Amino acid sequence: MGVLAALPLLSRLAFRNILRNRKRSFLTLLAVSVGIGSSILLAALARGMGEQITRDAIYGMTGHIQVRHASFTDDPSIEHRFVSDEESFESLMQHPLVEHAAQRIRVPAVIMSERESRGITLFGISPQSEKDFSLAGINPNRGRALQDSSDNGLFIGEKLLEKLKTKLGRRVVLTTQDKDNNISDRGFRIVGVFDAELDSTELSYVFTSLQSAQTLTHTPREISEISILTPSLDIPNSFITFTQKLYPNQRITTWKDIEPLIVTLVTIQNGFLLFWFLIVIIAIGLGLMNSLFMSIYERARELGLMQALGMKPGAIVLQTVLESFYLLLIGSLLGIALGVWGVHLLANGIDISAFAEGASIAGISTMIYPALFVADIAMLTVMLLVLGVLGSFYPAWHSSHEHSLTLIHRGMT
Amino acid sequence: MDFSAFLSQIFFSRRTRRARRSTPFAFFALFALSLFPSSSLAETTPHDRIQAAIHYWREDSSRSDASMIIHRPSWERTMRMHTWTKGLDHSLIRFVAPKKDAGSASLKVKQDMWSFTPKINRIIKIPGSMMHQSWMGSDFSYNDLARDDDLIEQYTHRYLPEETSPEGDTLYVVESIPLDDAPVVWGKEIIKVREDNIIIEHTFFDQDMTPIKRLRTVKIAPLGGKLFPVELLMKNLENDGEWTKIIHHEVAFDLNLSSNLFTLSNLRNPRERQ
Repeated sequence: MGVLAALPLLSRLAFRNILRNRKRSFLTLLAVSVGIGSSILLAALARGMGEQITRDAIYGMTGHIQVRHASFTDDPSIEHRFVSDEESFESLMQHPLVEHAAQRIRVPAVIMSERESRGITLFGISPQSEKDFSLAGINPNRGRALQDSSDNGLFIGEKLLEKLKTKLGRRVVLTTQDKDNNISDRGFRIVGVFDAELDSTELSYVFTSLQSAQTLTHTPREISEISILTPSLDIPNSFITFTQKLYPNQRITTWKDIEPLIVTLVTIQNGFLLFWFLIVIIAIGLGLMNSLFMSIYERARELGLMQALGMKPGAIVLQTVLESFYLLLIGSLLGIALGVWGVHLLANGIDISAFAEGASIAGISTMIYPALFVADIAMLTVMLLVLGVLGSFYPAWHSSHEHSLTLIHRGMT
Repeated sequence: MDFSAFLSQIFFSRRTRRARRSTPFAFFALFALSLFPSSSLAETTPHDRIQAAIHYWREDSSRSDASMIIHRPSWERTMRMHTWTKGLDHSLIRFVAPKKDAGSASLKVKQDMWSFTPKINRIIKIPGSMMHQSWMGSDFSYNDLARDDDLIEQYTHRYLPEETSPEGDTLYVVESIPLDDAPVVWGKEIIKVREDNIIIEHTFFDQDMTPIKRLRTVKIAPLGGKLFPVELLMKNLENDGEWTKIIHHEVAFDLNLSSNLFTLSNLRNPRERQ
């Protein structure tokens, strides 16, 4: 009779052994389920944070794809601009993968009030095309949003307003360089104030209409970029080729090229999660091995007797391994339930505004919303079962390779 | 000047904006007229008054030798500088003392400014971001130096009631409000000018109309062939005990200044007579 044919019998034996010392089995189950549950919660929080950073970056004036002058990414100045071609823009808008597209001026500038001055990025936008697309189309916290492409007002962040020690409705001066590298400046009235997720966004982005930005930089009908929103984060190559054909002289960049920091951050985070899973699993596995050794020593006499009665060493190994497998399986099911419940409890987000200043450096907003991924749960469970079972082979082998008489003798002392 | 000419001057002024403000102004002017029947007020618009005052200060060209005292609560330092100006567009300031600052120079051509530091032997174009910052650590900003002609073009001016100085001179008080799109952060500026076009006081207000800093003429004496504001004091009204004083030792006007005085090459290698 092959060892595997005895599986139902061995399973029954393994279950009985689990139930034999309930206190120990309960503690092992607790260790497994708490480990798995907390890992799932942590993974959900980390994923949630990663998703939020990516979403905010794309919403925060990056978009999925940018059409820019070839040198703009290296030197984002007004020098690197291109003529807005209405015909190409129209055909771009017709493409089924384009959810939104907007033409903008994006230049570094300095904003000055009576008391303070700060370096910012000035955007010239068409308010209609930014609506529901980017930060520029956000509803104002106070005042009004920009109205049309020739609006002379300025739309700035709450935090910037505070830093400049000025108020809504006041005038500030914007200074930038025009196309001939001369200083160009003008007074603007602050017409609206927005509230963004991140303080750094509120401090660095200032919006005016496309036309007034073009007037300031002396570049009528020219733009710095076209930002495009597609349905998903993964952009098909065919679409990039299509856009490149429409704008043969410009460079087409995806959000991954523009926000390498975020891509790196998410990659590091994924690596870290895997590492964390490994640590948890090794800790659980060691605990499990320990309790297996305990139960085997306890039953030394019984195992010796089984051997003496003709049970094959392989069957003894399998029986012990099965015991740990069932413990792990039940433990991880409990752990998943625990983790999902935890995620559910935190579904309204965790407020980390106390650390907002530091977190905003990494682009993390004041609220973290956990995001549960089935892939994470599956990976964690499979890793645990495989590594746990592998780990329990050692005590199992230990129990089987000794002579039956030694075992019986040890059990008697 | 008869009354109808005066009214037409108000209502058909060059700037429509000024015309809009003309009602209270007209009332005041009528009132002022009744007090001073042959007042020069009726002859000089506030715009011309400011232009004349700036012209008086610099003429078509000028050269001066002056000291600048920067005072802070915990320290004070004095620098000596030579200044050349030509029209409104060109000026050159070169420091000659103390040794630490000697050779440092600032050149302004139209709206652009460059500074030269001998220690690093480099000319730096002052970027827009720095124009608002303090010039040589004083209470003057680069803008104060570079943009004085803005006062003529980018503001609407009107007279406030005249004042009398402690010395008994009549002071014309001009309120200058920057145009909406002017590259000026101030809410308003109030300039007090004497009959002879010497600016006595120039106060900068924020948009809450709180005074921020004030430039005052402390001493007027004959210099360079005319009465000249010899000592000027720029006071930071928000921080007590911070001020900058400029004392002129020598001034000369209407010189035949060569235009290559105001070049980058001359900024680096001075060729002007000291």
